[in-house]
Amino acid sequence: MHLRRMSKATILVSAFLLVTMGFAGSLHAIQRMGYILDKEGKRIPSPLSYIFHKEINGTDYECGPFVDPKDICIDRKGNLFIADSGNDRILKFDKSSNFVRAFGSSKGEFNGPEGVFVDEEDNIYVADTGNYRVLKLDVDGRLLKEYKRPSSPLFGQGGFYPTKLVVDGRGYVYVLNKGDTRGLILIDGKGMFRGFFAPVRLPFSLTRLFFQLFATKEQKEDARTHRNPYCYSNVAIDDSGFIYTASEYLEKDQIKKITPVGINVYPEEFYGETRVVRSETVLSQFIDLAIDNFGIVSALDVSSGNVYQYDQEGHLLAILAGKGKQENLFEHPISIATLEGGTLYVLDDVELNVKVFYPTKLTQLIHQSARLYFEGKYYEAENLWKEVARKNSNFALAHTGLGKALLKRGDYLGAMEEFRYAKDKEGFSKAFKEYRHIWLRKHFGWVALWILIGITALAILSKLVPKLLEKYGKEAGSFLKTFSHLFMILIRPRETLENIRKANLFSVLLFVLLFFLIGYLRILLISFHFSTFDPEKTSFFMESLKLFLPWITWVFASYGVSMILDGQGTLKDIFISSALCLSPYIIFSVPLSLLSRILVLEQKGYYDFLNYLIYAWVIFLFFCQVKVVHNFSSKKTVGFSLLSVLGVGIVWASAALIYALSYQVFDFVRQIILEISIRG
Amino acid sequence: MERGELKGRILWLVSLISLLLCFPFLARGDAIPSEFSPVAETSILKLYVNRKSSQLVIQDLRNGKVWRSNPGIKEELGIGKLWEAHLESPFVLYYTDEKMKKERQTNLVLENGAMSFQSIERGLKVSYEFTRLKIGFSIKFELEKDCLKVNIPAEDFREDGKFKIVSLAILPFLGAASENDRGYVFVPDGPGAISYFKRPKYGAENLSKLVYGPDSDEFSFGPPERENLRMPVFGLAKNENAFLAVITKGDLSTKVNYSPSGYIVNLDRIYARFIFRERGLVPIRRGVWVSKIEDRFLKGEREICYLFLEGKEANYVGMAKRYREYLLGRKGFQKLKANGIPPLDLRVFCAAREKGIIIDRLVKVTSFEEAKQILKALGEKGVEKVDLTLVGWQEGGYDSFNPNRLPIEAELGGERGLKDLSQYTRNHRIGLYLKDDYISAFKHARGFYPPRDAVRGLNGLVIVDDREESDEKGKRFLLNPYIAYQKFARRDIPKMREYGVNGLEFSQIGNVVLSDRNKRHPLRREESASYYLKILNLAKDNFEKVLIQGGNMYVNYVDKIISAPLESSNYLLLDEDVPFYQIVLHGLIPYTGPVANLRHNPRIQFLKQVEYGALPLFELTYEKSVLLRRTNYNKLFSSYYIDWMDEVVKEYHEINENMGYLQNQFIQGHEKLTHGVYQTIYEDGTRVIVNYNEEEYTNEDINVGRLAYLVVNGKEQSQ
Repeated sequence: MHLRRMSKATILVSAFLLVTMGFAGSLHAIQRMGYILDKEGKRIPSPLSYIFHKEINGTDYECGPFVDPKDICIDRKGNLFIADSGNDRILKFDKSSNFVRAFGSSKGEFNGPEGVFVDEEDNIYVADTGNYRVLKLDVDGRLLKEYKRPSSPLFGQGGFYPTKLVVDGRGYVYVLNKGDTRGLILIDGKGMFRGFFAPVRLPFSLTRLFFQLFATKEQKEDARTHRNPYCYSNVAIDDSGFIYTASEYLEKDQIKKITPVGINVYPEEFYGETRVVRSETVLSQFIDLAIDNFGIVSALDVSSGNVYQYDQEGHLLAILAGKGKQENLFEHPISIATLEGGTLYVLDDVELNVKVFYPTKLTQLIHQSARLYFEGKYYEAENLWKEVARKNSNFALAHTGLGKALLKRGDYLGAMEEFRYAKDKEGFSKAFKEYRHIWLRKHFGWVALWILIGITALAILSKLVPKLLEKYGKEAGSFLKTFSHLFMILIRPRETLENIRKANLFSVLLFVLLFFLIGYLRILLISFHFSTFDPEKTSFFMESLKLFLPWITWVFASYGVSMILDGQGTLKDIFISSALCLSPYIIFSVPLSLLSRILVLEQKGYYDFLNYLIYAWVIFLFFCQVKVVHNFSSKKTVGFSLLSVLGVGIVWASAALIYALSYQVFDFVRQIILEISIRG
Repeated sequence: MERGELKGRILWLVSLISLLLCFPFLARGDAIPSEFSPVAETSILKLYVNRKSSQLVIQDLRNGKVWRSNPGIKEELGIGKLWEAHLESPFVLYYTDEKMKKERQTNLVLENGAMSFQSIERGLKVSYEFTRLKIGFSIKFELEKDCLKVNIPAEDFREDGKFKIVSLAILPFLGAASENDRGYVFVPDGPGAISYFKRPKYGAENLSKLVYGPDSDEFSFGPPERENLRMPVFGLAKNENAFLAVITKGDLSTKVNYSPSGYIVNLDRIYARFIFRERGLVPIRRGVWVSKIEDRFLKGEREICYLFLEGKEANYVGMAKRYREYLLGRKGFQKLKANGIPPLDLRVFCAAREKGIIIDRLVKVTSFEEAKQILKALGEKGVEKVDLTLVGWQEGGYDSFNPNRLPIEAELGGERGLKDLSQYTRNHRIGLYLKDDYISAFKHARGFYPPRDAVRGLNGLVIVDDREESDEKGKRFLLNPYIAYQKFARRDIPKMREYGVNGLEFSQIGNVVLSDRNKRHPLRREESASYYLKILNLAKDNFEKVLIQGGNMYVNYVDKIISAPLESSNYLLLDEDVPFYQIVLHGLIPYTGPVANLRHNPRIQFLKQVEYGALPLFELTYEKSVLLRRTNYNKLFSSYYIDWMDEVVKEYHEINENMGYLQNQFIQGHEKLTHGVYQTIYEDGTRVIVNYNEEEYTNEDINVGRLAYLVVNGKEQSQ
C-alpha cells in the first residue's frame, strides 16, 4: 500500500489559510461570480470569465505522474508540451489530451529541463538547464542543434543556466538565463551570440543606491539570486514577433511588450493587483505569460493564483481562477499556455497537473471586440461592445468602446455618458469638446450677449461695490460688515487687515465655516473630467482636514514665532486676520469649479494656472497679514514668515512622531491584552 | 459425435450441480467472522458485535452482504501505531489536556479502554472507560427496520481528569472501500457530489466540512467556501449495497469527513465527527494565529441513523429517495398538491446606496410604480402568474440600515406606494414578497450597538463580517440571533403585515448558522437555529408564504426555496455532482435555480436547471443596471428589463409547457446515459433527457440535439 503521512497541523493550517478568491460564494451564496478591477484597483463583480474544462494528470496516463514540472508550451497544431523537469523529459500530448510520447526519458539526454518551446516549423527547443545548454530537436526528437554557453567575449563572465526561451520568425533564440540581470540572451540561428535583449531598467532609488554602496558581497549575491527585480521570470512571443516579458518582483511595469528593436510598447503601469492578505499587502508576482493569436496577454500571478488577462494595449479584460481546493482553482500554478480561441492551459507544480479552461461566450465576445477596438474599427466593435455592456454593465472597457463609437458617429451626449460610465476622462473631454463646439455654434448669439452683459455687470460692480461698502459699511450690521471684509481684502488688503482688528471671533467662525462649505461645493461642482476626487474614496472629513490643518497650524506657529520675535499681534488678531486671508479661496473656488465645466482637458493649463493663482493670492495675503498685524518691516516680515513656515513643519513632524509612537504603544497594549485574554 | 454430446451433457450437469451446491452460500452472502456474535435482528438487518473490540458487523438480510465497522486488515501497513490502532477501533477520540491548546487523537485499542456491554431493547449499549484519560462515555447500537441507530447518550459523559473531550469520530471505517470495490462516497455538498473509488492518489487530502456551512469565526476570513453541506447526511455505495447516514441528533455540531484513498490509509471512507468542544485558529495579533479549544462543552445527545440499501436502490438516487421517505411526515413535510402551472419567479431590485462624499446617495432603479410597469409588460406577453419579490425596498435601499428595515424607502413610493402595489398584485393574483435579512447588521444602524448585539468569535471579540469585498469593510457585523428575533423580528414582522404583501423571502437564514460568544446571549449553533426558526414561524404566522434563499435543511418547512444549489463546491477531490438535494425536495418544496440573467455560461446553466428540475429565476430592474455600478449592489450587472423581457418570457413559457406539470411530482430516477447526457425520471414516467455535448445524442427512438433537452411525457407514452 502506498501511504503518505501529513501532519494534522499542516492540514488544519492550510485549510484555514485557504483564501478563496473573489466573490465566489458571495454573501448571499449560490450566485457564482468573478471580479474585475476598476481604474483605481477596486474589485468590481463580474461574471466568471473562464470555465474549467478538464484536468491532465500524469497519473492517468502511461507516462506516470509529473515530477517537479516547470513549463508548458502549445504548438500551432494544439499539441501540448510539458517540461517534466524532475523526470528529465519533455512530454507531448495531442490536442485532445492523448499522450503522444516523451522526449529524452530513456537516454537521459536532458538534465532537469526547465523550459520548452516549439517554433513554427514544429522544431522543439529545450532549455536543458542542468546541462547548461539549449537543444533544438525536430518533430521526432532528433537532435538538430545544440547551443552552449556563448563563447563571445561580449557575453562576459557568468554562467549559462537557460530556463525559459522563445524563438522568433528569423530563428533567433531569446534565452532567459537564471539570475542574469543583463536581459535576455539573444542567439541567432547559427548559434552566434547577438547580445543582450531588453535589460530591466529601474528608476533611481535611494535605498538601492545605499544598498549598492554598503552591502557586503554576500548580501549582494543573495540579492542577486533572491527576489531580484532585475531578472525576468519568463518570456513569451506573439504571432507578429513582439517579445513579452514578465517580472516577479517589480512594483510596476511587470509586463512588457517589446518590439524587435527593444522598445516596450505596453503602458508603464502596475499590472495585477494589490491584495491585503491577513493585514499584509501582497503584490502580484507574474511568473509566466501566454499570448493568444489575437495578441491578448494572459499573465499568471503565482502569489494569488490568478490569471490576469490584458488586451493589446494593456487594458484589463478578465481575471480568473485563484487559489483553493476546487477544480477551477490552483495550489501553486507556475506556467500558462494558450490555444487559438483563448483556451488556457495552466500547469500546477503542487497539484502536478495541467488544467484546461475554456472562455465563456462573453469572454470570447470581449476578445473579439478588443481586437477590433485595437485595430481602430470602432464602428465594427460597437455592436459587440453593446452586447458586452448588456451582459455586464460593470465592464468599463465596453463603455469606452461604445463611447468611441458614438463619438465617431457624432452622438456626443451619448458618448459623454458612456465615457462617464467608464470613468474615462480623456474620452469624456473629447466628446465634450465636440458637443461644446456644436452648442456654441447653435447658441452663439445668446452666448455673446450673455458674455457682454456679464462683463458690463462685472465692470459696474467692481466700481460700485467698494464705494457702496465704504458708504454704507459703517452703518451696516456687524454681520454684513464682517462679510464685506471678505471683498475688501482683495482690493485693499492693508486697510482691511487694519480694520479687522476690531472684529470679533464670530467672524472667524463665519470665515472658517464658509471655507469648509466652499471646499465641499468645489468637490461637488467641479466637472467630471477635471475632478481628482473619487466619491468612493474621498471622505469629506479628510478633505476638510486637508484644508483646515495647514491653516490652524499656521495660526499657532505664527503666534509662537511672534512671541519670540516680539510681534504686536495677539492670538485673537492672528486668528481673525488669518481667517480673512482665506478670502481668495472662498470667493474664487466656486467660479473656477464652474469654469471647469466648460473647459476641455486640453485647456487644463488655464484651469491650473487660475487655481495656483488663488493659492498664491492666499499666501500673499498671509504675508501682508504678518506685516500688518505685527507691524513689521518688509525684511522682518520675510524672516518671520520663513520662521513660521519652519514652525509649521516642526509642528507637523512632531505630530506625526507622536501619532506613530502612540499608535505603536496603543497597538502593543491592545495585542498584549488580546493575547493574555486568549492564552489566559 | 455421440460421445462428444454426452461429454457436453455431463459437463452441463456437473456445472449445474456445483452451482446448486454453491447456492446456499451465495444466498447467505458473505460469511460472518467467528468472533462476532449476534445481538439484534430485524426483518432487514442483523447486527453482530465482537465483544473484545466492540467492532460491528451488519448483515443486510435481503442479499446477505455484510458491512464491517472496521476493515480487518491483517498485514503490516507501516502507517504507524496510531493509525493501525485507528483501523481496529469503532471510533477515534480527539481530546486535549487542561492547557486546551493542542488536540490529540486516540482510540479504543491504543488506550486499551475498558468496555461493559449491556443489552437494551433493540440492541446493545457499550460503555467505554479510559483509565489514563479519566474519560468515559457510552454508545448505543440499535436496529430499527433498515436502520442502524448509533446513539451517544448525553448523560453518560464523564471527564474526571484534566483531559477534555474535543470531538468523536464515529465508525470512521464503516464500509471503507478500496479500488477493488465498485462504487462511490456521497457528500451532500450543494446538490450533492460523489467520488468514485479509484487508485490511491499521491498526496490526497482530507475533506472535512461542518454540516450547514462554516461557523461564525470563518466569516472574518474573506469569501466563504462556495457551498454548504445542505443536508445532515452522507453516504457510501459499495458494489450491490449502500448506506445513507442521517445525522438525526446534534447535526448542527457535526462535521462530515471524507478521506479519500491515499490519505494515510488506502481506503475511501466517509464518516461523521461529533464536536463537543469548538476549536479554531484565532488571531491574536497581526499575522499570528493560535489554535484555541473552547472550554464550553456542547451538551446533548448525538445520533446517527445508518439506513441500508441494496440492489437497485444502492445508489445516490436510492439514498435520496430513502431520505425523502424519512422526511415525509416528519418536520411537517408533505407532498405538493397539483396547483396548475408554476408562477414566474421574478425579483425586482429597487434601490441601492452609492457612497458619496458627505452623505450616501440613493440610486433608485425601480420604484414600486415601475415594478407595476414591469408586471404589466409581462402581462402583455402572456405571463400573468408571477411571484414577485422586491429587493432593496428598505429605508436607504439595499443593505443600508440593517438590522432595521422600516420605514419603506420614501423615494420608491413609501408605504403608500407599496400598499398600492400590493393592491394591484392582489387584484391580478400575483404574489408579492419582500426580501429581508436578519443576519447582517451595520455599525451605523439605529438600535444596533456592535459590542452588545454582534456575534463574537472564539476569542471573544466581535466578528467583522468580511465575506464580501466592499466599501463597507469593517462596518458589517453579524447580528446575534436572539436579538435578531427578540428585538428586530418581533418589532418589524407584525408591522409589515399591514402592507398587504403575501410573504417574506429570507436571504441568509437558509445559508448561515452562527454560534456566538456574546456574553449576554451566548448561543450555540442549535440555539441560533432555533431562533431563526422562530423568525420563520413568526413570518409564517403573519403572512401566507415564507420563501428562503439557499435552503439548509434544518429549516423545517418553507413554501419555496430561492436559488437552491445546482452546483457543488467543485472540489477536485470529488468527481461528479448529483441532484441528491433535488431528488429529496422535488414535489415537496418548489425551488428555483440561481438568477438566470447573471449566468456566466448561459446554455449549460440553463440545461442544468432543466436536469435538476429547478424553476427559472430572474432579477430585473426598470432602469439600466449600469446605474448600479458604483453602489453596494453592483453584483447585479445585467438586469435592464427591456433587454431581458423577451428571454424571460421565452424561458418561462418553454419550461412551463415542457415541464410545468411535473412540479408536484417526485423525481424517481436520475442517471448518466453517456458522457454529458443525463436523464431524470419523474413519478408519472416522464423522462427529461439533457444533452450537454456539442454533438447530438441518439439512442433508440430518442434524439436529443446538441446542447438541448428532451421531455418524453410519461402519460403520452403509456397511452
